[in-house]
Amino acid sequence: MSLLTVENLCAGYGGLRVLFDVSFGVEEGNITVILGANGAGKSTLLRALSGMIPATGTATLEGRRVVGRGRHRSAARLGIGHVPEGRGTFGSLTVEENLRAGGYHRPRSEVESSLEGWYEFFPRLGERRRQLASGLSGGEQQMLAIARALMGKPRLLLLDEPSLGLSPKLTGTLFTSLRAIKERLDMTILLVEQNAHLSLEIADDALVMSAGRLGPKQSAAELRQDQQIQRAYLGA
Amino acid sequence: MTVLLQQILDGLTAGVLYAAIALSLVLVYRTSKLVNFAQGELATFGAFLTWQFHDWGLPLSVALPASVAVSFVAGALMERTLIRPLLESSNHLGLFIVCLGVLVTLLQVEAWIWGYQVKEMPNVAEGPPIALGPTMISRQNVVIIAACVLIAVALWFLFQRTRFGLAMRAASDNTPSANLLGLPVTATLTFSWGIAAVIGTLMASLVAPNQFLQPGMLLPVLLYSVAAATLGGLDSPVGAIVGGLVVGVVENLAGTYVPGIGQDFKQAVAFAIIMIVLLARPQGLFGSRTVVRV
Repeated sequence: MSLLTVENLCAGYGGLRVLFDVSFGVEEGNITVILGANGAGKSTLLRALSGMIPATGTATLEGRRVVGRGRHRSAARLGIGHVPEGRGTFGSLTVEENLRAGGYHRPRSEVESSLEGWYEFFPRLGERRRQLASGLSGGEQQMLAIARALMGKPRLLLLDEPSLGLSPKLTGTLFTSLRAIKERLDMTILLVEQNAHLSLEIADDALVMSAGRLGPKQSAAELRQDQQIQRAYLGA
Repeated sequence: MTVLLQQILDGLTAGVLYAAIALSLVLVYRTSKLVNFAQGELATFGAFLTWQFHDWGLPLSVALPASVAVSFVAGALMERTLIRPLLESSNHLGLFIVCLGVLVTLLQVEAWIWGYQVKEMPNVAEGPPIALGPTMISRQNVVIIAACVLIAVALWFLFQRTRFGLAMRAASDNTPSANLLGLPVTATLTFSWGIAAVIGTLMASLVAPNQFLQPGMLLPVLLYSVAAATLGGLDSPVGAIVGGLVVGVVENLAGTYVPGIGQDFKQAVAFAIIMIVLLARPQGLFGSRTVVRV
C-alpha cells in the first residue's frame, strides 16, 4: 500500500483552477519525483497536500485524511514536512532557533539529540548554529530548510524545487544528501523539480505534470530512457 | 549645566513612557503588520479602570493588577473579534478604519462613564524627590523607569528564552513557514495584542498622577510613540526602547533650547522625526529592511 494516496485532487487560487483531478501514490521509503515546466502546477500540488491552499478530492497519509480538514490544520502534526519554494527559512532567527522551531511539537530531550544529529549530517549548519539564517548562502539555507522540516520527524518530506538558484555543483551535493536521508532514515520523499537530469538519478519513481494534469507513474530509470523526456527536460 | 542635565533626565523619564507605548505598537506590528492607533487610548482606558477599582476601595496593589488582567483579555478579544477577520482577508484600509473606530469609541465611552473632570490618581510611591547629583527625580518617576526596565527584561526573556517566544518570533518572520511547521501562529497573534494592552495599562496607570487622567490623556504620547517606533524600526522591540528615549530627550531639549519651539510647539518635533526617518532610513535604526525579490 502507498504511504500517500491522492485521488481526484483539484485545487487553485480564487477562481483560477490549477490542478485537475490529480491521482497518484507515493510508495513508502521511495523518492518520487514530479517533473514539469514552470507553471505546470507542481508547487500548487504540494501546497494543497500540506493544507496551505484549499483543495477538493482526497489525500490520505497512512490512511489518515490530509486534505479537506479546514484551512488551519497543521501539516507538521499530520506527519508532513514541507520545504517550500524559496526555502522559507526564518532569516531573523539563528540556525539553531530555526531547527528548534522545526521540532516545536517534540519533547525537549528528543529535540536536543535530533539537533546534534543534524549538525553531524550537515556540518556547515553545526559551524553556523549561532548565526542568523539570513547570513547563510543559498545552499546552506536549503540544507537548513530541509533539516528544519525533518526536525518535526515527518513521515513524508515534500520538497519544492530545492535546486532553484543553486549552482549545478551544489545541486549535486544536495541531491546526494537527499539520497542519504532516504537511506539512513528510511524517509519517503516527494520531490517536485524542473531539473530532470539530477532528480531522475536519485529518484525511484517519476511522474510528469503538465498544465495541471499528471501523467502515469513510471520508474525513474524508465523515464530517463524516454525520448520525449530527453528532448523536453534533459536537453538531448 | 545643571539645567541641561535636568532636561536630559526629564527627557529620559518622558521617553520611558514613549518607549513603553512604542513597544506595544511594535508587538502588534510584528504580528499584524498594523500600527494600532488606538493603542494609547486602550492604555488610557486601562488607567481609568485602575482608578475606578481604587475608587471602589481596592488598594493600588490590587487595583493595578486587576486592571492589567482585564486589559490582557480586552486586547486579546479585540484581536479575535475585530482584527482577525480583516487580517485574514488582508483588508488593510479596513484595519486602519477599525483602529480609528476603536479610538473614537473608547474616547466616547470614557467620557460617558467618567466625564471630562480630571481624576486624581494616587502615586504608587510617595515621598520627597530623590537627588541624583545636581538633578532631582520624583519617586513615582523612579517607579515608572523601573517598570519600563522590568517590561523590557520580561519581553527579552519571553522572546529569547521561551518556546512560545520562539514561535512568536518565527511567526512574525515568516507566517507561511510557521504555519507549515505547525507553530501556534494564531495564538501568538492573540497573545501579542493582549501583552501590548497590558504594557499600556501598566504604564498609563503609573503616569496618570503626573498627566491628567481624562479621556484622550495619551493622545499626544501616542504621537511621540509612533515617532519612537518609526525611529527604532517598527518591527524591533530594542528599537522601540532606544527610539522612545531618544525622542523624549530630543523633544525636551528642543523645547527648552531651540527658540520658537517652546512647550507648545514640541509636538512638531515628533512629526519632524517621523519625516526625517521615513525619508532617510525607512526601516529605522534597528528594523529589518523589506527586500522584495522580483
